[in-house]
Amino acid sequence: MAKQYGFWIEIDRCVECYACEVACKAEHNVDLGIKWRRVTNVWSGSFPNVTFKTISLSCMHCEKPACEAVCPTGAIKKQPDTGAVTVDQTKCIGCHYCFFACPFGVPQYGKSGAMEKCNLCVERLAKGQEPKCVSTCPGNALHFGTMEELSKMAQEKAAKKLAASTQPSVIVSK
Amino acid sequence: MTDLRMTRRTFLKATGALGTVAAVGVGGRRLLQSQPLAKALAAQAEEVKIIPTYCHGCAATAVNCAVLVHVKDGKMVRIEGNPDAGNNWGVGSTSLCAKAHTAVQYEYSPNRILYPMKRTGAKGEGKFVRITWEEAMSTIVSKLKEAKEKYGPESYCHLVSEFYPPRDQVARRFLNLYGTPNYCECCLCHGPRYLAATVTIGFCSESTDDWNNSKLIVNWGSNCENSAVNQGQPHALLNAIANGVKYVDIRPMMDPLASKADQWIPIRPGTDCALALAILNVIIGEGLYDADFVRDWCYGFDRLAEHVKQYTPEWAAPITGIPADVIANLAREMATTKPMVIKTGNGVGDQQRDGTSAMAAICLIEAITGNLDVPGGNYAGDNMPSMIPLRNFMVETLLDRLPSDAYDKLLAPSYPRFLQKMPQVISPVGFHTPQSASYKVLEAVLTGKPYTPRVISAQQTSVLSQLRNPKMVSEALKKVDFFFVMDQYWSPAVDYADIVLPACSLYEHGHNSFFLGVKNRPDGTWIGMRNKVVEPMGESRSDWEFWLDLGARMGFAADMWGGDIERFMQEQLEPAGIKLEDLRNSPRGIFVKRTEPLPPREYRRYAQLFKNLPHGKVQCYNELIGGKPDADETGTLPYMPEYKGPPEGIAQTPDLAKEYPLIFSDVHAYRLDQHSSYTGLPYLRELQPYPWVKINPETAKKYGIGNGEWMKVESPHGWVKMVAEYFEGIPPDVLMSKRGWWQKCDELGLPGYSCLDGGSEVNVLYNGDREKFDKCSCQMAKQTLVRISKL
Amino acid sequence: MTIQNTWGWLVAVYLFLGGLGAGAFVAVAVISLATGERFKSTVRFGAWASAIAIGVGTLCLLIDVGKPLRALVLFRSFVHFGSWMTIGAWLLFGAILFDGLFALFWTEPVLQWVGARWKFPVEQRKAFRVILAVLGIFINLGVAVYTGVLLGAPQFRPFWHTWWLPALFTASALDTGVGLVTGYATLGERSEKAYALRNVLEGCIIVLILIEASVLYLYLSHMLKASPDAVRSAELLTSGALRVPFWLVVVGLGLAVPLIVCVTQLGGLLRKRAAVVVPLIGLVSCLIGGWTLRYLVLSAGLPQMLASPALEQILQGVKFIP
Repeated sequence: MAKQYGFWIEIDRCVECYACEVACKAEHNVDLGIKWRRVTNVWSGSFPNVTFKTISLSCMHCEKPACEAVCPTGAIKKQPDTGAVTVDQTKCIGCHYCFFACPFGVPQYGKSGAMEKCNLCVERLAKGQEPKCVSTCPGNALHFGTMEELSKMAQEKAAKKLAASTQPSVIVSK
Repeated sequence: MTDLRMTRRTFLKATGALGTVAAVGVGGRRLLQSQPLAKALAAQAEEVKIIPTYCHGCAATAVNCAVLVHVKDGKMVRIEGNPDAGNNWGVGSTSLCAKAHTAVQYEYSPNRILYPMKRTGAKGEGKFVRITWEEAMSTIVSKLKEAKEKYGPESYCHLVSEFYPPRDQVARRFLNLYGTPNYCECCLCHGPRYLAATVTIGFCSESTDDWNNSKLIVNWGSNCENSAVNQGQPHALLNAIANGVKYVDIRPMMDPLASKADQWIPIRPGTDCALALAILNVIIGEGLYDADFVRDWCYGFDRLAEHVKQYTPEWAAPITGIPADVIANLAREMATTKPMVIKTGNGVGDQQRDGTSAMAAICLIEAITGNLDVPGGNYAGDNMPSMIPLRNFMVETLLDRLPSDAYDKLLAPSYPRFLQKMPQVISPVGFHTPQSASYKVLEAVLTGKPYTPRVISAQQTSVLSQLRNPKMVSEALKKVDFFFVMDQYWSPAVDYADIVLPACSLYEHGHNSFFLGVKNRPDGTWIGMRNKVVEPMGESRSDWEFWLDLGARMGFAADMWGGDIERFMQEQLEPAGIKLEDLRNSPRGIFVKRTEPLPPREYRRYAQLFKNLPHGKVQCYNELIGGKPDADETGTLPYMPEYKGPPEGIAQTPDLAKEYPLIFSDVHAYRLDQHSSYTGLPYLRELQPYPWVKINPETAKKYGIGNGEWMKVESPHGWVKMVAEYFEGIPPDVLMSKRGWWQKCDELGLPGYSCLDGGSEVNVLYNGDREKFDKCSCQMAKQTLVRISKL
Repeated sequence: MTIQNTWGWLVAVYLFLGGLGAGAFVAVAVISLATGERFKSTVRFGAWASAIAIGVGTLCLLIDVGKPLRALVLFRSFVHFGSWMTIGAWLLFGAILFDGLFALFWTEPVLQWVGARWKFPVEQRKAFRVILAVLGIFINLGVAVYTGVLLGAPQFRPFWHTWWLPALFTASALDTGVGLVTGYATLGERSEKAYALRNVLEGCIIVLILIEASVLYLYLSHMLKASPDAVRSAELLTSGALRVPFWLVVVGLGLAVPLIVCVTQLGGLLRKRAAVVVPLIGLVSCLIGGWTLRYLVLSAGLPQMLASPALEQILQGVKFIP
């Protein structure tokens, strides 16, 4: 039975420190201008009745990846043992089709021309470690585990799974 | 959360050798592995060494986060938190802030100074030639000897940033041996606030240990999501909030924690004293104070009560920009919600004209509401004995070697001389004496009053960008007889140096003062060592080594461990019964378990906390500093907190406000840099590529300035160009910016910006007249009025 | 996010040339099947034009991808047939092949050269021409349809995710292709009865333009009544930031001008005078309109807003001022 790992982001604990963004970049030597993980503020209202929430998202590692479906070279594959959606840079031709297919705008293209994105730190998973972003979060806002584990953890916080037809493996909660 | 990590780790082990995986990233290379992953990783693992040390991220300040650095073929490749140390939220935490992860970029930055240099052109021209360390050191030695002979040792002034271990210890020792009291403090952070608190309530605590017992946490001018993100405060606050504590945030701008507050109070920059006094007015006026505590532990309460009658919420409202009823309700809430703790920061005492009064007033709020050292209040911290005995608080600085008139010779005391002269045992302020104020010392180069500094040195401090009035600073540096600098980066001040010394990075030396590497926890004490991870680049050397070497050359070898840093470290470590080699070889530090169970937490330790205050009580009417000469020695210090407000402000200088209608301030600390350090590192600079000003969109649109567009910001003192960043969480008449944009980033093609008029250094805008400084601890206001236009 | 520009003007060139080439081939293939060698000059022109157009278009596509050299090795790179891009790549390959072969079979010097070495194909050229024409029509129609299906396959771009798009692009492909061939027929075809060919072609253009205009109208009106995202995209063209190029160039130059030109030509009003200028204007306008149509459709391909506007903000709001 294939496992599906994913992320749980607790918005109320995120302080927009960018540690996860930069840690991911340093871990994978990501090109300047490219972000495998993005920290963004979502604003509502205007001064003085204003507030914002901060959220950190990388790839959704969807259960039904739209990117995998459209990739002409077969470079994008969903890994059966972790559920990670990874791209083989030796096969990718950089056609950008996956960018158009992904409803979350995740695929980005670096200096090499090939597509790159969060790979769920599969090499760290193999060593029994969590993804770098999760391990570095000073506020303990980012969590990692199987979707079942995370769901249980998030239940009490009335989390809502991101609703989209590709079934993203991310839970966003307060 | 800790438990979860444990189960997940074991969970993941089961998925161990994954067979073929399409994408692998180790040390940065993304390779296709056709062989089993585990085999490939095993091969790679052999080549990687893991060395424990401390992160560079908070640079000039204390070592904080213990890390493990991965080194491959002599090159740094990766960094992660040391889970055994107890960083951030405790044992097992591997968290690190964004800065930490730029370790590799920091180490190999093209902007580093690598060799000793001597100036050949005019000061400020930037013409230098490489020399040897020998030549550099002999020049410095001869200049120091000459200055001492001709002008007296006090003519040598050493400029520092805030709390930098080498400077505080070995540099201080050298200065004492040499005979100068002019260890020069920037007066921008922590010190002023600390003094204000200790002379009022006897202690200054930043302990988060008891926040889970609090019912109300008031974050007042504190910026912990920007300063020391990984040192526990954000985490503790988030836990408290999750536990249901009420959280009020009093800051000019809505930072991330403020967005989670029950109430955000957008106070006008620099008006915290007014708010605090008005709160005292309401609490006392409505009888909401803790009568028992006031009776038993407060001195001069009646006089304070009389004094604050004038500071009504109606009076404070137009000053602070906060409606009077909001102020009144806040006061009531702070008095009646118990326990309550006020978390203060730089924004509320360190860079304001009345910062000392503001901080004192805030401490008094906590005091009279009975929240000092109570569970969930302003808890003075656990007195846990350390399981690793070390020498005092730090290396003996040999204060007694200073000439007997040293304190009288202080050029420009950074806090009142009489306080500096008090024996450390009874001084509420304690250590860090003697010290002068950097800004005033530089002014003295130009004015010659009270005397002229002849030799100035700077270490790990960007003098030209971080102090007010960069123009004055540049002129002073131009004029001074001899100026030498030791640093990692070529800050703008370095162009004015006669001798430049290359400081190695914090990963290139294993020099420590051990007490700082100690993490004392309920379960025991952990000690780690700063280790050399890679060889120093170029001919750079450690700041520690420099002082030992200089000391030896000046004839103080006997008092400076013969110039041998190993001896220095061994001597410190001796009482701990730990050998230097053992510490060096421990892969994750040494942990000594606590043998005795900890006694239950103590509270209300008032006799001890207030023992150095007059009458052994909280100073509502301050007889310790009241009526005594201020730092300038031109006036006296107030007995009770007094409001002054910013030198330029909407309420304070309404005529000026007609021409300069907007309030301008800066954030001091920001999570993507260490003041002006690291803005040249690509991973951090790409997150803030341009000198930004956060501006309310309505205001920007009024002036026709689009989001991301360059704008001119002009105060009565100068002008700068910055990039507008639309920000809803800020009042329409306030702008917030950041200091320190002189570093260039070649990788991104971004320049460094000038520190003078027309550049992008906000310090150009502020008032540099010492008459407008706080007279107690020389705080220099970081608030002014500006007008803006599209560039 | 105002305008889509990840796939920009170069991709528009590729889509345009692909369509143009496909349409041109279909036109001359039909002509050759119907009239044999009577208009061989036109057929040869159309065949070469189609091969070159599709070839150059594919080159543009290759220049645009991140790894062109890798993409060139089709049998390694285009292997996942679940993806329309793979199907399209092979269709393009086939089209270039067939169009090229067809063109060779209509080029005398080539036939001479081959005939001297290998008699069979030259002797059987009529048969080859027919087979290549028939098969080529299917492949080229496939290319024309594919240019629309490629954009339509990803389901999160509502403006593209519709069968109206391949319909529109096919109509435009035929329209521009026939237009190109007509231009040659007018200016370059010297055979007797060339004017008869012209008349037929001009008639075809009128019909094709009317079809294309109808499809365009139906496509946009469908979009303007669909989801808010579709409306956002469609409005860009009809009344928003792209309205000027849309109405002026796509509708005006691309549809109205060629229509007027063909009508006047057929009506014989200007046949004697301005024999070159007017048809040329018609051709150029038609081609400019064709490329602009592709470019604007690409530009209007905005992503679908997700579960909430907040999420959209998150995912589009990458804070980086370059």
